[in-house]
Amino acid sequence: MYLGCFERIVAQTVADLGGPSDWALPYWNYNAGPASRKLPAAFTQSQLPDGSANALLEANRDNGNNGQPFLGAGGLNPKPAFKETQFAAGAGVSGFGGPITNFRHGGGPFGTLENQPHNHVHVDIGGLMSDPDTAALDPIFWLHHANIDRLWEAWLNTNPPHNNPPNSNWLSFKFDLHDAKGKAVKLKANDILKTKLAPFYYQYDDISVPADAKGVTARVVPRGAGIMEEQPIPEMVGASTGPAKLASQTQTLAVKLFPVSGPHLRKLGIAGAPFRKAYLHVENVRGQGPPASYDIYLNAPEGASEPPEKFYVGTAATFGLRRASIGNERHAGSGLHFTFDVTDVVNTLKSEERWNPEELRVTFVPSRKPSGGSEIEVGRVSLYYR
Amino acid sequence: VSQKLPSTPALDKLRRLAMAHPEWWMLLFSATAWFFLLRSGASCCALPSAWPPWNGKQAGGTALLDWFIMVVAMMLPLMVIPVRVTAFRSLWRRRHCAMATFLCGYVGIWMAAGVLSLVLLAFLREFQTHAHWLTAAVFLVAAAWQITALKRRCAAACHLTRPLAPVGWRAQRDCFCFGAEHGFYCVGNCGVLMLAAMLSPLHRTMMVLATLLLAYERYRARPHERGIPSMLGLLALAHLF
Repeated sequence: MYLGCFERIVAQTVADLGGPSDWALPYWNYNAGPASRKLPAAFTQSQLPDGSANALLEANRDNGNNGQPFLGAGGLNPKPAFKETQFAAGAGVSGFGGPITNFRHGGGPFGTLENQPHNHVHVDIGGLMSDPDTAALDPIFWLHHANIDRLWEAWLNTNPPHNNPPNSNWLSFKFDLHDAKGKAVKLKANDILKTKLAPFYYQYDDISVPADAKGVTARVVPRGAGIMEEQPIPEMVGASTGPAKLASQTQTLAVKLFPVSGPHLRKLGIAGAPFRKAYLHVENVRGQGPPASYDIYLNAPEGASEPPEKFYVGTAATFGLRRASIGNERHAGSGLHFTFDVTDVVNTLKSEERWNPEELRVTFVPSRKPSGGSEIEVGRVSLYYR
Repeated sequence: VSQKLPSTPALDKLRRLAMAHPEWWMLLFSATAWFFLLRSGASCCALPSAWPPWNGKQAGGTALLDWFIMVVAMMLPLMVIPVRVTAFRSLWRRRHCAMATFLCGYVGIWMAAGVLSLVLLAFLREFQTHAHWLTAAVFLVAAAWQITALKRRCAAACHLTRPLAPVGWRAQRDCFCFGAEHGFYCVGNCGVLMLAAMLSPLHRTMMVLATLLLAYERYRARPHERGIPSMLGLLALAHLF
C-alpha cells in the first residue's frame, strides 16, 4: 500500500521533471541464484554517467557497495514462508503474514515472510537499512520491499492457491497515506489487494515460486480460510530457564522438555509423535546496538562450526532489535519474537534416533555477527506442539 | 480424562472452547463482580448506599472490598491478552495455576492503588458537598492525562510480555511478576479514570461507561486517538449540569 503511494509520488515527480510518464518502481529479486545476491549495479556506482554523484549509493552500508554478492543464502530462502498454508495463523504459529493482533507497531511475533527473507536482507545490508527508523532512507529499501510484495503475490498464486484473510478487521482497517500530489488519503487493504486494478494498476512479470522454495508440499486450503480456526490447540512442551546472551560465537541453549499433558494432543497420540506440527519459539530477544543474524539448529552435533543442513530450522535476523527493546510511547519493550516451523527437523531427529525426550539443544550460529557495541539476549526458547 | 466424561457434539464443542480460551473463568469472575456492582439493593459486598466512600460511613475494610469488586469487574476484561499469553507460555498442566498467579500479582498492585485512593478520599471528604465539581475536575484530569506521553507509555506497556520459567518456584515468581508489571502499568493507564468513576454520584453508570471506554481503547483504538479524551471532557461537563 505504502509502496504504491510512494511509487505514484515518485512517478509524478519524474514526469514533472520531464522524465518518462510510465516510470515504475522496480523490484530486487535476490532469489535468482548466487549472482543475484548482490546489490543492483545502479545502487553501487559512485557516479552517474554524466559525472554527478549517484544518489542511489548509500555510503554507510555495511555490505554490498563493492558490487560483490554478500547476502547469506540461508536467511534469504523464502521456503519457510512458502510452507505456510495460512496468512494469519492462530496462537503459537506465525503464518505467512503474522498472527492476528490489534493495531500495533511491533515487537511481537513476525509473519514468516517478514522474518525470512525480509529481516535478513535488512540486517545483511546494514547501515541505514539495519534500523526500521532509518531503513527507508536507503533507496534500496524500496526495491527490497517491492520484492517482498512480489513474493506475497507469488505465494497467493501457488497451485493450489493461498488466500488472504477474509477478516473484515484486516480488510477494512484504514491507513493514512498520501496520493501522487501529496494530498492525504485513507486506504484500506481491501482497496489494493487486486494489484491489476485501481488504484495502482500493476502486474508483475514473474510471480512463479522462487527456485529456493520449490518442493514445498502443497496442500489445498479452502477458500475463505485465510485464518486458521479449527486446528489443534498449541501446547508448550518445553522451555529454557533464564535469559541467555548471544555472542559472536556459536552458542547452544538447553531446552528442558516435558511430556504432553493437554487432552487435545494426547487424543491425537501417535506413538512417538504426539503432534501434527512442532514450532520453536525464540522469545523476548532484547538488546542494543546494530542487529545480527543467527542460523538456528536443533540437536546439532557438538563441535561442528557449521552444522549439517538437516538440523537447520531457520534464521533469526534481529532487525528492529533496538526499537523493540526500548519501552516508550509506541513499544512495550518486550523485544523480538521468532517462530519457526520445526516439524521436519524434529521428525528427522526422531527417525535418526537423535531425539532426547527430556532435552532439546538449540544452537545459534552467527551468520551476520554482532558488531561492536551489540548486546543481544534471548529471554526464552520454547517448543510447542499442535 | 475426556473418555470418562459424557461426549456429545455440543459438550465437545464447549470443552474445546474452554481449552482454546482458558481465560474463561477470569471473565466469569468479572461478570459475577458486575452482577454485584449493578444489582439494586446491594449488600455490603456490592456498592452500598453509603457509596461514594467519602461520606464517612464505610469502614476501610468494606471500602477496600468494594474497590476489589470494582477492579475485578472493570479491569479483568482488559487482561484477556496477557492472561492468554501467560496460559499459552506455560505447560498445559499448570496453565490455570499460572493465570491465577498472574492475577494475584495484577490485582495485588491494584489493591495497593486502592489503599492510596482511599487515603486520598479521606483527605477529600470535606469536599463531599461539591461532589459534582470534584468529579468533573477528576474527569478533566483523566482527559488531560490521556494525551500525556506518560499515559501513552503506560498504554504501550499493556502489551508487555516476559519470559516465564516452565516449572518450579521460578515459574510462580515469573507469572506473579508478569501480573504485577501489568498491574503497575494498568494503574497508570486506567487509574485516574477509575477514580473519576468511583467518585461520581452516578458511579454505576460511570463505571459501565469507563469500562466500555477502556475496552475500546485497549482492543480497538489507534494510537493518538482523540475521541477518548474528548469523551472524558464531555463526561466532566456532564457532571457540572
